[in-house]
Amino acid sequence: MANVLLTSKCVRSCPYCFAKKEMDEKSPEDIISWENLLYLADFFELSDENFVSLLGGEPTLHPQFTDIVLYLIERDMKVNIFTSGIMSDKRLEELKKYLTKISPEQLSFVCNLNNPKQTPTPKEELEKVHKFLSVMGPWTEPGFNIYRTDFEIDFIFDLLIRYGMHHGLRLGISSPVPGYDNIFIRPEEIKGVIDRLYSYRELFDRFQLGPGLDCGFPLCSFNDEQLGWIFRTTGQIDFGCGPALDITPDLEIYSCFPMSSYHRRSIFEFDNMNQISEYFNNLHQQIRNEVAGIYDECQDCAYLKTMRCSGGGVCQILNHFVKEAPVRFQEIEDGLSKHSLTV
Amino acid sequence: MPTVILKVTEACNSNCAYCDVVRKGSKVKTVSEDILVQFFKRVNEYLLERPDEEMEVIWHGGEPMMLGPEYYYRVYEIQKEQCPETIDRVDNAMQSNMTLFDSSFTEIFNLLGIDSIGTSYDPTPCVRGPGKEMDSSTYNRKFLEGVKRLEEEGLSWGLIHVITKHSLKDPLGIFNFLANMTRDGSMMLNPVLFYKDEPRTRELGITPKQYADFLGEIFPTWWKNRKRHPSSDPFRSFVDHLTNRSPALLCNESGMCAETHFGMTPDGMMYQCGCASDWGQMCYGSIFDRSFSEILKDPVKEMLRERVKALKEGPCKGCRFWDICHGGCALDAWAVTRNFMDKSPWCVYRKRFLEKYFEPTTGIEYIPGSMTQEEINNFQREAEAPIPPIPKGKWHPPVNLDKTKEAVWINLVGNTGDALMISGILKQLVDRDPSRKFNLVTRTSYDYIFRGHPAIENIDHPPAEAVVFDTAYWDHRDFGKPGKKAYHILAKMFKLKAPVEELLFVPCVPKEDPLLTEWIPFKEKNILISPSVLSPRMELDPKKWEELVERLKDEGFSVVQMGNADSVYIRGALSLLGLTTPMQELALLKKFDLVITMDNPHAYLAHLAGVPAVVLWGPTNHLQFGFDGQGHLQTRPKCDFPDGCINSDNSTPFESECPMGPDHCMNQLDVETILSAVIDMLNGKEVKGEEEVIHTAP
Amino acid sequence: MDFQNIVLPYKPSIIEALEGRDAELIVHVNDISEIIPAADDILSSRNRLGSIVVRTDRTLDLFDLDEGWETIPVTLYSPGPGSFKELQQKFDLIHRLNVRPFFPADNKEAVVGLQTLSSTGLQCGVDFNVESPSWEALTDLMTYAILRTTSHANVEPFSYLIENYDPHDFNDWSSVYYDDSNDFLHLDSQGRAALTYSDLASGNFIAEDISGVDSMEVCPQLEEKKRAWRRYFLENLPCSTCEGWRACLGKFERLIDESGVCPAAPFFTEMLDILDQKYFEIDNRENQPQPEETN
Repeated sequence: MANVLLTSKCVRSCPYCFAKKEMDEKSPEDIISWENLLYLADFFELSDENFVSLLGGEPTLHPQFTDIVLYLIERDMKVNIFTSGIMSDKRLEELKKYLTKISPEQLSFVCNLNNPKQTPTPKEELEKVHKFLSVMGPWTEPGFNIYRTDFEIDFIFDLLIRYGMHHGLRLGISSPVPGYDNIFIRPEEIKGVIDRLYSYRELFDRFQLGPGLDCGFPLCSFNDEQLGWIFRTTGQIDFGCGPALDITPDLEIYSCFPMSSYHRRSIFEFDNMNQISEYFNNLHQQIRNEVAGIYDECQDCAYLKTMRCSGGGVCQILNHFVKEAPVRFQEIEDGLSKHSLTV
Repeated sequence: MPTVILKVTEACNSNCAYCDVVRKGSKVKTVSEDILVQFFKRVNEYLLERPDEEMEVIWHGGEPMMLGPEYYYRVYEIQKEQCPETIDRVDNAMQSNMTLFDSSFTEIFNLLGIDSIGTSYDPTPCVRGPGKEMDSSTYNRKFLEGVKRLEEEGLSWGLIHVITKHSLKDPLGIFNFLANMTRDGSMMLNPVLFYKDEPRTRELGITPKQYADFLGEIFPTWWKNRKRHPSSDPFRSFVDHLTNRSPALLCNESGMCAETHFGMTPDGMMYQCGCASDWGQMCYGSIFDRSFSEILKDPVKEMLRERVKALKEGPCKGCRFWDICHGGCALDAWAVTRNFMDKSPWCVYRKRFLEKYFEPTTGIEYIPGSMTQEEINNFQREAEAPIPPIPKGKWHPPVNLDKTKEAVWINLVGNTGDALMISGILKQLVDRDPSRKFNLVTRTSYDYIFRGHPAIENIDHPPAEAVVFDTAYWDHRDFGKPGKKAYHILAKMFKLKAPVEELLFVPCVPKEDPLLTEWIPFKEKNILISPSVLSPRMELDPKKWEELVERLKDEGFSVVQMGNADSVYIRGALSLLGLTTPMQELALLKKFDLVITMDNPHAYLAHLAGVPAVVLWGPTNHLQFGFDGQGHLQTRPKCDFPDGCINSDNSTPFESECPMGPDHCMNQLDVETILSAVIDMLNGKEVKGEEEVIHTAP
Repeated sequence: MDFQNIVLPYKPSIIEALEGRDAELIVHVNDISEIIPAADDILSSRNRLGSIVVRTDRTLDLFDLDEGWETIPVTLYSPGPGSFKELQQKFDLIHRLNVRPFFPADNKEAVVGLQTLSSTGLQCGVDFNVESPSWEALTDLMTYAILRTTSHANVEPFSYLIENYDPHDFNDWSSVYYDDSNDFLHLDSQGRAALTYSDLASGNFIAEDISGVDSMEVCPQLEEKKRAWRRYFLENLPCSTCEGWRACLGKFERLIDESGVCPAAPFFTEMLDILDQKYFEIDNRENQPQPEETN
């Protein structure tokens, strides 16, 4: 699966944003051109890739957002859009006119929601989110990024039923951006975060909502009861951390947002997504060959050896490397120094 | 096949600037009938003497078509009369300016077997054309009309462009012009030749260097589009010569013109070739007086043959282009030095063109006959690395341990074996001086060895300004020298003074895992095998391992295999693959009587545990990495790396398969040898073996 | 002389005059309302329907398509695709029809729009009848149309060139635009005949009516046109030395500036390179050297 950034501009300033470094370094006018879109569509077709996520910044800010979505669907792709839900009325009307005819099998949204109390949000923004959900709710799954250990997610259940949203919750854990100062959950805090998540079990079960874990959760931070519950509700658990493959408007590519400055390449250097995936997987493996995971115990962990768990987010490990003396494999040090990811 | 350039007429309807024929002012302009009769008599005579040969007659001029089709009907009749048995071996061809061709020539050309006309063209105004002013506009129009008629009659044509000084202004323009006009790019680009210094020479003549540069400017375009223009010469010929050890060469390249060429002028006088006849050189006398065979024995022909030999041994000796040049044309040599025996000055063009243009453009080293057609068709210059190299990052400077006061951070690069060696060295250091403390850069592969180590204060990420000590002993100047073991090089790097014991150390050996031990059916004698290796070059054929296991079991041993989960399982052995960490293996080792292993961490663990080991070596050297006290079976590689291909000095890719395949050095070891080494080790005897396998005593 | 392909304006009386010829007729209409009647008239005249050609100043998203055109090949000259989201609403209909839009070569968005259409399975083409083509955009489109291996619909004239390319000959793609004098006859509203669109426009007729053409054994103007290429070589014109000549054949001679530089040259040079690449990759085609030269 590939992630395509339509814009580098966002409508919010979330305190945990791990795309902030990427957004800060780009101009707000940086949007994907139609020619680049055509190129990408062909590239994906050649790679037998028929699932694409559209991101940003805020992807709905792109002037041709609706055209882009319709084009990709016309190319037989399944399109998923990560959005804040905050958009102009005009844009929302467009979505209503053109996108509500499309089946949720082909089109989906993940609306990244912030707790209005814990992450203060202007009233107008909240209203826009509600407006968006009132139109596109059935196509939309809530998303939530955990960036503080005392997070509260009650509000999500309210929105879920109020707007007929899709019953899944994309849960992310905010990650460090190596070389950048952002708020993130430290490895030693992860267990506490999971315990707190589990405390919502009753609500999850009652509303038949399954917590979909995004990357960076290590297996050992869950006890067996918690693991059993997640498996029962979602049918699958993945403790992997692998390249997400984010493609910028000017067709550069990197592993994921936190690692956006690390060994960034141009898509033109590759023939297909498999090659890209292999390249970035190798980079991940290089890092893990140095330090297996985010905990000391990872190096002896049988589950890591048998690839049941990746050992937490690789960005956490890279974050250490950024701050230490240059002692790692040459290619790691080269990647850090080229983009000034060293202290 | 010999060729006769027959100047059937020296009359012409054009007045080309560089033509020698129209300026000759010959008295006899056209070959008479009786000369034709005599000519074909001689041709018949020649072919009867040589039943396997053919002869080519090129009807040349002047302008041959000025004589009209009737003339050639008469030629045909005479040919039939004079060559009744050999007419099928006479090939007729024609060189013409095409301005006079019409359909009245078609039938007679068919009868004579002429299906293609050689011609020439120059886009430059006022170089070719009738009249004093050389009206090229009229000439070119008539030329194109002639070509059109020729094509409509089903004949084809080949184009020569004579390169003059005018052509040098825009070589690529001329090439494109001619390629566009001919549609398929069939052309021959020849330099203008003059035999004396005259105004024309200065006005139109070019040097060999200029010729080479003219071709060189065109060549990259031709090379890029060579499939579109397959027949552009001399480029096509140069490419053909790459694939053919005996290429078809032109008269001025072959060194064979003495055998292959004759010329005849309208008055029946025989010359060496067309050019010789234009310049009045190398005359062999009248066709009435001498046969072709007699001419072939003429001293001038002999001189030409001698010339080739003399040049090969003399000024052309060692030239890598000899096979496609042979010293060039004797007439070209004479034109400059007035000596036929000299090499042609035009060889300069060939050398310059090939070295300055051909080789850099194509990336092919020009060696005639060195490539196949398929290789040329598929030849591509080596692609640049798809992902360009990125600039080097910061690295830390070397550290002098004697002079550094603060606790240094050891950056341990290497594998488990290297970590165990360093652990042992550090133990010896701290035993001698308990104040010697180090920090260790945290790294998954060996942290566990150093936890609780008396010499290690800290295992962590080193701060940015930390003083870091690299342990890459393979970069040390002593590495690879005879007698210099890795252990001792490391000891030297850590300033551990003699005596140095080959000690391996772990601070804390875990207890045995009873859950695992319970499941192993130990016998009286128990052997641990570990065939796992990192490089396929170090791998011993699993079939041999299986045979060894069977033999050991027949001898009453129990055999257990340890290693990574993804190692090849050896059938017959009890598999603990992927079930033990190195420390757990260490704890288990004392239950075994002997370890059979490769150059891998298990050899180190066996040494650490004090368990006898037979270690199998091939592409690495036991003298560098083997421990005293273990039994080493070292093969002698029979490849280009008799000292082993895996070391830091060569660029052998570690992960690659050995090009010798199953015959690689490791597989020289046979089961008998290993088995007897095992028995000898267990009995405390000296290990013996065969010639090709070096053994060391325990 | 017998022309099997005749281009004419929509006028029932002219179609009647062509009754029973079994020729392929390409008819220009002034309005979309004439498309169906024109097609009916052609079929009734016992000729074959080549295409109905219509020009519009509406972008394709705003153009009124008619379900009744399902069996009619329509060549549509339009300024561009317009808004994709609007156009996409019509895709079901467009895919059922046989409409081939042509967008102008001087508008970059329109040229990119052709790639968009092609990538979604719609045949389309480039309208080169413009002042200054946007060569850079056209080069991208050409590379896509000829070399891209992802599935896409034909883009003219590139598809024609792929099918008919001869690396050792001139490659004239005029017939894509019904303008090849070897194959197409052009009639005006009065039935007068010419060999090309430009001859028709400039009144350079070869006959006053179709019967005049029928009675010709040889057409001197046609013979002249066959020789026309020679002018470039006889007069040493810049086109004669252009690497892209064999694909352009002087079609864009008008763009050559005073210093002899032609903006079309890189495009056609690239075109030949790309066509060679495609041609010689198929079946490992190789050329045998032609032993033409003599000494």
